[in-house]
Amino acid sequence: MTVALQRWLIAWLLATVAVAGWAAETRVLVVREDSAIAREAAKLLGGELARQGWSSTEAIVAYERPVPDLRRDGEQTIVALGSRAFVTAIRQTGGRSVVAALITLSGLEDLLPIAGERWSAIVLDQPAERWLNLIQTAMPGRQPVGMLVGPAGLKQARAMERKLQDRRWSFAIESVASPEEVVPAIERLLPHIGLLLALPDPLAHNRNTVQPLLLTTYRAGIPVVAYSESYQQAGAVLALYSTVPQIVAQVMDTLRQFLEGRAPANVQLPRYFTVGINTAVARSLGLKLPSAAELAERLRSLDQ
Amino acid sequence: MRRRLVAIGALLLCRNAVADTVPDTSADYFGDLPVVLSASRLVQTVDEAPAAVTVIDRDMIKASGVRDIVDLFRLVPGMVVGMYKGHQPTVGFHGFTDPYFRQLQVLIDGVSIYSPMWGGAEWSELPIALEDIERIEVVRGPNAAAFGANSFLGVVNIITRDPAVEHGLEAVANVGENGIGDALVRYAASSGELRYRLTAGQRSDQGLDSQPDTRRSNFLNLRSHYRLTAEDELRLQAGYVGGSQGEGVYAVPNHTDGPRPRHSDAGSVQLRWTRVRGSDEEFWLQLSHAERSNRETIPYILQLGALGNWNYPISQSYEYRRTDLEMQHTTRFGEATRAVWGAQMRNDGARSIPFYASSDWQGSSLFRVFGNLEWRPATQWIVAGGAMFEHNSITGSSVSPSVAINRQLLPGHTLRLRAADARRTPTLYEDRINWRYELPAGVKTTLLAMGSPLANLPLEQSALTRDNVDDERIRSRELSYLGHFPDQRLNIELDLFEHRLDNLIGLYKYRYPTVLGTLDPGHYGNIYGFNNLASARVKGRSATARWQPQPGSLIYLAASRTAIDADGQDANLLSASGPRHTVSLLFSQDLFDSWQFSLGYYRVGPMQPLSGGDPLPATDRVDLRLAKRFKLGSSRGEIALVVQNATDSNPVFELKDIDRRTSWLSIRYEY
Repeated sequence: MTVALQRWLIAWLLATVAVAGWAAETRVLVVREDSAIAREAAKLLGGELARQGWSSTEAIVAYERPVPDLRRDGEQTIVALGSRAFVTAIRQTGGRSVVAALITLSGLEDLLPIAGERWSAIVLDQPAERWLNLIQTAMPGRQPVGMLVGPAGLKQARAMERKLQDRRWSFAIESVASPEEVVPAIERLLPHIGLLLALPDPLAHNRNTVQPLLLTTYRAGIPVVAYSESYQQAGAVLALYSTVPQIVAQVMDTLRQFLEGRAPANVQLPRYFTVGINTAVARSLGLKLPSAAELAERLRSLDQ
Repeated sequence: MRRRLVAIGALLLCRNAVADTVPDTSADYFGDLPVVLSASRLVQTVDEAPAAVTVIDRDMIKASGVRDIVDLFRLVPGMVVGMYKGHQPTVGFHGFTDPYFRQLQVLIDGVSIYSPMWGGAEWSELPIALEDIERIEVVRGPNAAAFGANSFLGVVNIITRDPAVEHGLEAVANVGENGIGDALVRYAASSGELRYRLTAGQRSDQGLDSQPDTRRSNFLNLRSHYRLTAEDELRLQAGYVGGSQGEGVYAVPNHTDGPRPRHSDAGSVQLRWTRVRGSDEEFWLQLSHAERSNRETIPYILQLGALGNWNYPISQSYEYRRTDLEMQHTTRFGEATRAVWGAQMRNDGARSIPFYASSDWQGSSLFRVFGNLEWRPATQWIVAGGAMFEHNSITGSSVSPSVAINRQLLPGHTLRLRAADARRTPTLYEDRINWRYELPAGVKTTLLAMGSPLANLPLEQSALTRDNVDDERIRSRELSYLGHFPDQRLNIELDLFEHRLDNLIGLYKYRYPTVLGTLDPGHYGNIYGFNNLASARVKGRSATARWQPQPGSLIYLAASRTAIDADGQDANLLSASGPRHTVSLLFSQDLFDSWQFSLGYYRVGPMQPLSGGDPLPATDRVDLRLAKRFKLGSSRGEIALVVQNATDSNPVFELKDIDRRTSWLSIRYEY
């Protein structure tokens, strides 16, 4: 065999392996928690994967079920939906070829450091800059910005605090450690703020605290900017959030990057997002806001 | 081998342990939250409201310095507040000032407290405190389609505070001249799905100098909410008020209206289930029950000359009750249309031996269905139409429609045209009063033995309705301008209105045979009956301005001119029953960080209240309040000095009934 022929043979072998590798790697295992949101995301993801011609299987991680063996079908890319699913995937694969979604920054930080290199977690936390751009675009001059946080949201609040300081915006943050402290903390905040930024925190913002929070801020004429569509319907004037289809789209983007051999960042902030406006509350508070679509467009251009 | 197994075992354990402790934080982003600011919770912006509304909020309540809720109505243009006795206010709106002003629907948190017997509300005996009130919305005009019949000349809706916005303990005490001694304690707390607020208090004062009208009453009320799911919530409210008030007049001994105490008790309970699906999708179902009992007896010696003297205590006791079931559904059809509709069933009853000559319950019932539609055909137009169909056991069926068109001329400037019809059903008093007193048994026996025809007559009859009394009717037209200047924090409202009133219920005298009537025809020969006897046309205009030039300042100004042109029985009295002009001014200013000064000025033109009032001259009333806030560690408080009627003493019903300058100290403490 000549040298040239050897080289061709090696190249062809490599190509075959690569193609085989490629074909072998378009198998995706979707590991999810047993929650309604994870179910919905898995369903949408399954549809998207099928559309790409990739095969996918599903495994469920839940308290009552035995922990699934994620390596039973050999090497494949894993999409983990939910923090419990992500933990299981990391423990079993060491972080090779794992894309995680429906997980928060604080949930992720509890799991670091992760030894593997080929993993990427798409967190639900919107980037701090996007929040501030939203406030600046929709309601400029409404300072100081107020926040109510419990122990779980403290780190996020500190990060936001730094960004606020960078922009030289005045702000006031009240922290609470127990449910009884919530209403007095809100009352202390109100006279000193022009707007309340609600970031997720199970102690500060839950089914019971939104009642006094929205009623007292409404009465004081203070708009609330919040983190979910549900909060917007409850009475927050503005909401910034990523829907399940948008998260799934980012998962698909990440999968494509993996399979093209690129290495996406370990921690990804949401790329696609929705702005929601509660027009009835905005009108009642006398706020003139641009349309939700305009706001989203403006934020996308500012993201660049 | 064994070591490896142990290692794997440990890894498995470890894995599960980690899986158990990772918090499920994504639930925060996708969890369901209850809709808090639903359509019914949002204060409708004035320029979108389908009727003229005066809103009295907490700042105004504080600045006014009042002790009694009814005194707040001096702020409403066209409304007058007087006093029949110290604790029975006379209210008038666009005329018809009367101690038993019945042309106003009164609600607390959407539940009518309109008295089935007398109409109107028992203003001095409400189970709520001023501190319980979030705001009061006064609709200046008929609004049957939203609030039912008897929303005749207007509607007062008192909205209490949701326990969600309060926590901790609040104590208030008022001490001052004229025997003023009030005390109040409020406590609000929440625990998981339950939140509640409890208020207990006492009010007492000596009333007017010219009347033996000292009062002392205790009250208690509870408002509680229990959240069942993200969509469903239960609300339970209950209240009690009881006490004694002085009645009667200072007169010669042994007078039929001599001084005596009236003891009263009233209790109410309401249970409401609310389901909120979205900010415009709300449904509620409510059951309520209320009862009141009044016990009053005038000690009297009946002197019948040859027939002897008899110990004859005159009773004016009565009781009444109401049970009510209603539902309401708010929904949206597309971007432009919103609808509110509902149904209601109510049973009222009254019992009184002196007033109905029977120990049976006098009952009345009603059923009503209503609907309101709000349609926004284009951005500057709102068309709102509604109607109420009611069938009641006193006067049968009726329909009350209303329509309003709001047109935004420029941003911040709106014109509204409104037309509404409404009815007022005769109260159980007007419909079937049979106020009589029977002969003492001994006298009756004597007269029977004498073969006298007087034996079969009642001793005395004060009133008897012998006609079929029909609904009063109103047809109202209104044109308003609303100006909203957000940069100046100024709101202006100008109104022109005209009411045509028909079938107005009034009293007429007629001869009726009674024993006392036969013995002393001059005094006792005539009795009163109710019938639809008059009509009137009321025209007027009003202006309201609310301005907050800077934080800490409030200026509220309201003025009205009204002309009443009545026809029929007592036309002159009806035409004079309201002042031709009223002016209200409320000014409040925060000073030096923790002080607040406020001043209220109320001018009411000459008028003559109905049911026995004297022609009163124009009155000017000035109320002053100076308050200082203080902090004590984590608690805070306020001390205020209030001077009512600072400059003058004003007659309030008869010329001898003078409301004098009264001062008191109010101390509030919050923990």
